Amino acid sequence: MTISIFSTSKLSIFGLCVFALNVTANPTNPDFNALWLEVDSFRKEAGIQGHEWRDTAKILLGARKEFKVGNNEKAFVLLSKARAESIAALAQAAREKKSWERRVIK
Amino acid sequence: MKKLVFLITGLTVALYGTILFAEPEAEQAAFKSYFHNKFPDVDKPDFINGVYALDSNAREQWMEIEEFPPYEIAIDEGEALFNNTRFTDGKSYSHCFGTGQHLRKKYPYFDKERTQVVTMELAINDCREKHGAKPLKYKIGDLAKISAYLSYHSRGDVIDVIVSGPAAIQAYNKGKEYYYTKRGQLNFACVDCHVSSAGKRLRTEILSPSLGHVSHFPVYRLKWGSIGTLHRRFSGCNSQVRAKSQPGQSEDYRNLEFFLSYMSNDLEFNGPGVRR
Repeated sequence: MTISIFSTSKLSIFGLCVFALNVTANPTNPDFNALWLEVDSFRKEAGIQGHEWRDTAKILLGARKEFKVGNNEKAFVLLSKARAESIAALAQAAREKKSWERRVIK
Repeated sequence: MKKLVFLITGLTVALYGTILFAEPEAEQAAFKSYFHNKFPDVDKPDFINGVYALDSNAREQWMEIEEFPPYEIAIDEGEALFNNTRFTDGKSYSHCFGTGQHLRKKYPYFDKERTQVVTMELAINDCREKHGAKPLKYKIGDLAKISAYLSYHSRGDVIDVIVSGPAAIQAYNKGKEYYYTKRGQLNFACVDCHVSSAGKRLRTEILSPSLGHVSHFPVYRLKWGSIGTLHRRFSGCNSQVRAKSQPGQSEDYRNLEFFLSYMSNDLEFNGPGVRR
């Protein structure tokens, strides 16, 4: 997944809606694990770029915990939240690469 | 023809070098000028007092706290740690730092051999590791206390960070980029609070100007109830804007300290300080 995919907020919101519909329709264990790993990879990528948000890792851990005790609905809500945060963090990283210099006091 | 090629190459290198080295200087002048214009009533040397240079009520309260400063215990404990610690090889901190007087002004500096910024706190742990001791925590505790002691004995010395050579400029530029980059869920950069909003209120607190920020660390924060290093504060700022904070002495934080210290060149060190 590249940053450019998330370059518009509309696309991100659309993606998030599709994601939410998919995960709540049939929340099986393999689905959850695969999605969890995908979201975690977004989080890590944001971290590599120095833009990971404060709570994303905690939310992801919370999602796993809820799934383990059978609170699937809550688990997917948290996963969805972590995904939204990671996508927004990646978008922020891409945006800031171009825009930080405009703020330098000249 | 050969002479002409050499001449052109030489001139190009010289010009490139001048541009490369001139940028930090020009940026420092612009940075200082911004604050001097924004707060014309503040005496230039008073920027080391942060928010207390801007607000008379806050200053009055701060001066009362300074009568019995809560960082004094940390200075005493730092002195004991500095003078009484014996490493496994029988050496002490004095083998690395001499008497410890006027030490703060040597840091941060760019170490050309290690190609990285070296801060005073990093140097303290380097010294420990060199003599077989475990490194201390970078943000709190004994290291902050030693830093408080050393800072106290550097009061009145002038910040004099040198940015010289391509590698040092690269570190400076990385620090600059970190400073001006928005991050976290709240989408804030350091510049948003401490430049454009400096002097304004954020809830009950007045935002301090970046100019002079590095002069008074480590600080005893009433909020913390203990003394903490500059990197503890960086970490707190990151967390407040809901960005993932970094470990103390991470490359980003050291570069940021290097940049901020250079911006505050010619101001006096007055650490340790006390802040709310």
